[in-house]
Amino acid sequence: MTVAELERVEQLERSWAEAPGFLSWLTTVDHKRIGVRYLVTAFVFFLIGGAEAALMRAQLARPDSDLVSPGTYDQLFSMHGVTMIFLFATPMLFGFGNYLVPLQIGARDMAFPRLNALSYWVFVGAGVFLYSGLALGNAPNAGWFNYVPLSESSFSSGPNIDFYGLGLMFLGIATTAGAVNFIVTILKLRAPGMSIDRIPIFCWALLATSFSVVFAIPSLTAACGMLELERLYGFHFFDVSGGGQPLLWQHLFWIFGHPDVYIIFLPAVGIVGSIVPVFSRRSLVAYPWVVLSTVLIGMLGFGVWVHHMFAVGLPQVSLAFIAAASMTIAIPSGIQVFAWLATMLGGTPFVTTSFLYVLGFLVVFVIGGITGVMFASVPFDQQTTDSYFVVAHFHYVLVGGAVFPMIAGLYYWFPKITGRLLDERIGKASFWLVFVGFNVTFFPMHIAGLLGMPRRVYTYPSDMGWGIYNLISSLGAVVLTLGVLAVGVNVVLTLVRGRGAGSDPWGGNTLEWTVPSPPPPYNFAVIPVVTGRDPAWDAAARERDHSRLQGGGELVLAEGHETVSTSPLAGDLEGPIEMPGESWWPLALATSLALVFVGIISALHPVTIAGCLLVAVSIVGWNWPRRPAE
Amino acid sequence: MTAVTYTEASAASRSPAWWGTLLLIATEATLFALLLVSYFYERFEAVGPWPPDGTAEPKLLVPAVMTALLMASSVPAYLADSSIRRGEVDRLRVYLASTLVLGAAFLGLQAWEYSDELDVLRPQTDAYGSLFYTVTGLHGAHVIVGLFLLGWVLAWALRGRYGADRHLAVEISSLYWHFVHVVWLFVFLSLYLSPRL
Repeated sequence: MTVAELERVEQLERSWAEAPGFLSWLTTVDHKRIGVRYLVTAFVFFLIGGAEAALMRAQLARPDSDLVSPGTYDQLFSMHGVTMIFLFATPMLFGFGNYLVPLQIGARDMAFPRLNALSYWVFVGAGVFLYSGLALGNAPNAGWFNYVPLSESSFSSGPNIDFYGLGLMFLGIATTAGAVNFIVTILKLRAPGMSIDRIPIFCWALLATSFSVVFAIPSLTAACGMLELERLYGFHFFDVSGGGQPLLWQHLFWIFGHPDVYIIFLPAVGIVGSIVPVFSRRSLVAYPWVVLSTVLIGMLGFGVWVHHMFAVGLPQVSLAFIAAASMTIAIPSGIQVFAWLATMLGGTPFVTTSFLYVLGFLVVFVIGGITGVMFASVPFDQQTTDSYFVVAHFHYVLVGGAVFPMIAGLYYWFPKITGRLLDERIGKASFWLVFVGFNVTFFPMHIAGLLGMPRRVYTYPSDMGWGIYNLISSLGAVVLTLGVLAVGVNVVLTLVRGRGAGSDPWGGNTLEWTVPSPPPPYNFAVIPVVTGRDPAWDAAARERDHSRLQGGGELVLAEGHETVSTSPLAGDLEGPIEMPGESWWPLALATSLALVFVGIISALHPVTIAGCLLVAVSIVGWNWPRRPAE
Repeated sequence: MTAVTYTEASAASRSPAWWGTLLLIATEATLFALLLVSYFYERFEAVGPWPPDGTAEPKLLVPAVMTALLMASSVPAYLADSSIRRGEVDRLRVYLASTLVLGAAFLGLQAWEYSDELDVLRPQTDAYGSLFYTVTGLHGAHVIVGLFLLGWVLAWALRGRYGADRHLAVEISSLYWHFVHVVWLFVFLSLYLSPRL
């Protein structure tokens, strides 16, 4: 290290260090700390949602069981769905995105660090809000898609559904803010030279996902807003007696709901696309095709919502269009799968736990994809709607398409986040437990569904002949649980006594592997200049970065709290931009928003009004100029 | 030492804050579009006349004046942005104040129209009433937010905060105000004009 380099690094350390202690835990805007928080919080919700599933499997293990009451069972399956979709899957993937996007594009933070902190606090607030319903014994109980008229006040009079409607509107703020942050970060904060055809595949996936979020969440917000106006204030949108249309709820919900499947699936695809090249020791095959497929899936996702409504009696013509559009999605999905397979075959793969989970993903997801194509066919769909075949299908798609890649991502990036390598023996054992447990749990559901077992029944008579399949499913769930626990045990053991990882244990191709593990608060001592698609494999370019740090100090930006902005397409340098530091306002704003929703659900108008005023105060405080007027 | 080999952007492009605002507008515009789609869905699925029996078509005079006010208000909002780019601080203040006055007049007329309308139609009357007040009310809320934004920028403009090289807040509030204006055109076409077609 030269003297100049030492001085510059020390200066960066000083200007990017956050105050130590508990207070900084509340005020941090560091994308890495927020990202880890997202990951941990989402994992907690995963355990809660898993516990709900375990209770349901225990109840269904034998016929005529009375372990839980029908009312409790309704709350269990509703909260299981809401938790896994809204509080686990998206936040978990946003956690990976938060941690990795700035590191992969060579930036020092997200474009809007305080908005990032706000997203996290709102997510936690909305999660607590939704679960306070369960704590009060009044959890949402009309399923995760909450169809009217069941969810209207005439049939669901308690506050149960209000926790759903208001909670999801509240959560929508977090998801939308997070998505806007990802888009702007990826468009504007890339390292110089990272033109649009050099963006890492994971960042492309998050970009496509985030655009889907921006256009999909309003539909959920509109649906929930109308429902709550109807339930709480006597408006009419869905109830026939007031001239409303019940089917409007289904349309609005699925205009959100189907894109949401891809909002969950695409980032997971990005994880797979990041891992396959590294463990195959070669660049991703057909990068432009994989990118275009990713974008296309995000767009097609908006054109297929009616395939959730094939059985409600819509005109045949519209069904035919939607069926064709739904089948079209198999094309870009197929391109991606073949690109990964070609990368593996064209390279020299070495099988780590992470890679095993990717292989598991391919098997499980392709099975889920095949049943998906079956559903795109209207006559088949009408026969199996609301049966356990559907339950089997979407667990293959969502667990296969999202949870397997998440665990793969965990094994892949854990050394970067913590500086320690997860144990491979426990890892491989956990893979087989998860893989076998998953298939034993969910494959029999296909058969139970074809035999006529409807979803969302709290029990069934013994003479239906579904008992054996349900028993197998419940036993599989035990194995699956052991597998998930093994992952958790591995994490804990590694944190206590894991092997050091170094900055690049896998020989990774993206920029996060060029910085220490865990990365320093400023990420990069010098902003890298990118010359290719696999920047970490470009030793000459990284050597040039380092000599800038030692020599002239260009793009070190040690004087301020800065990163650089570049042009959205070419990635040409525009100049340094100032980044905000720690702040109380995100937490203040999230708390004020929570007050608003608490006030609405408890009908305490002074609380709502106070909340609104505090929201205004927080926004003003947040935007108060940091420097005095010139 | 090695020279840095990046290329510099030819012209300074938009800032992250501008992109962020644009995306906020995109998501809000989608929300309005879905509400208007809901309006037409309920309207075309409804049995019988629209508006339903006993409700007259909305009166046009006041909303037409409101439309003219809001369209006019976008002009000084645009001029405010372009004048501060040239460093003309005094003009910035005048244009911001003009936008504020026109926007406030719009809101005043909307309140007046509501007080008139509420005698015959309430949000709880039927789906038509619910949609009418939800859409126009949500738009009104956006006008209020826009007025706060402009008021904030005006307050800082009066303290001499902005200049030719420092005008991001003006640019963003102006962009937001144009959005509020354009949304109203769709609201006006859908809720007021289309029942007469």
